[in-house]
Amino acid sequence: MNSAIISYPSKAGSFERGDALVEIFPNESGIDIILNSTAISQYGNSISALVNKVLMEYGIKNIRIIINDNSALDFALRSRVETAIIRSSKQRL
Amino acid sequence: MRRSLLFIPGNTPRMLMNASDLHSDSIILDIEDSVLPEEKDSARILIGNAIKMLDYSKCEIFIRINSIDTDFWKDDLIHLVPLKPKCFVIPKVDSFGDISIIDEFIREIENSINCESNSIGLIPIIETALGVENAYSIAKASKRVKGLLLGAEDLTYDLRCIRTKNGIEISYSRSRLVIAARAAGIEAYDTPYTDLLDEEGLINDAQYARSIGFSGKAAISPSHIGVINKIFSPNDDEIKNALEIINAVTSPDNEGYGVIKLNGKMIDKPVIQRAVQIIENAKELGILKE
Repeated sequence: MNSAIISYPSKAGSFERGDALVEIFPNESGIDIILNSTAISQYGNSISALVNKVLMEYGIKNIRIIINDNSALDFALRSRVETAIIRSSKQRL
Repeated sequence: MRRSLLFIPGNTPRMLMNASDLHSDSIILDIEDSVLPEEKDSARILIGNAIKMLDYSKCEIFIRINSIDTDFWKDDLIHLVPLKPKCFVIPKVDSFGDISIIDEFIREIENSINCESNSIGLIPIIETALGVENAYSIAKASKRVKGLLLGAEDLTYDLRCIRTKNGIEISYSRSRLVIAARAAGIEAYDTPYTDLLDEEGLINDAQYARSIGFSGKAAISPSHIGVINKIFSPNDDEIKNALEIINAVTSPDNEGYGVIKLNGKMIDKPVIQRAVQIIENAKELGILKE
């Protein structure tokens, strides 16, 4: 996967149970992850680790990402982050 | 056996994560009607990660893509062929040519990723008057075609008639579909029953479908799967009768006879073949031990 530069804000997902609404924004330097989750004390670290892993796979070094989690499993969280990245970077599927 | 085929909305994580526990023989992950046009990209990614990361070993995975009169079907296939679902379910198939176009496009993708050719099947949905008329040629259009699925909601719209619970308006289409599929040597799957609160109606509908030769039935609600699986499985009387037939024809007393009598009924080749099939199905489902 080539590096992706976040040039535009975008979002993916929903607030429905089992899902996450992911919003991303351009950021001048570094990765800022803002996590809102009902299970933040229990799963906050693993959610952040998964988000960082996806960002690394896409070669993203500068981004502001807001995760509004409603008990999403890893497959759903990963999917919403990937979709937001692809939408932002205007890559075709 | 493929008795039940359950549609699962492709952009709803909550439905995807429980899909393999719903006892459906096959699940149809849907990117067509249940996904808004602006969310097709999201659904492709979600379905892809669901297949890679969740355990769907208890059921077959089908994916319903968008029809070839949309701008989405090529992207659906480009993204999802590498995941090697058992079959793609193709909506609104009208003709042999529709299947040929999809078959060729899948082959190009398979070749580009070194995937075994023809390893992915197709289930065309017959849901237009033209599709019903062309059902046999659609069934024979490609070796990938494993079964025909009737889609009664769109069909009755096309026929300009009202969809009723007794299904009289689709009786010809049902029979035509079964004959086309069987003549082509493939399976036939009945349309979903859409009244989620009417179990008696579902039972009658599924029993009728089985009685005219359908092998299974699609569903839009997990609550329908138990009834569908039961009706499309061999029942106790059928199994008992089939065992009696096999015991009779293999008895030394009947050796050398092409036709025998059992309980006052004639037993000949098609009756024996049907008995063998019932026993095989019962064994496959674990109803009858080896």
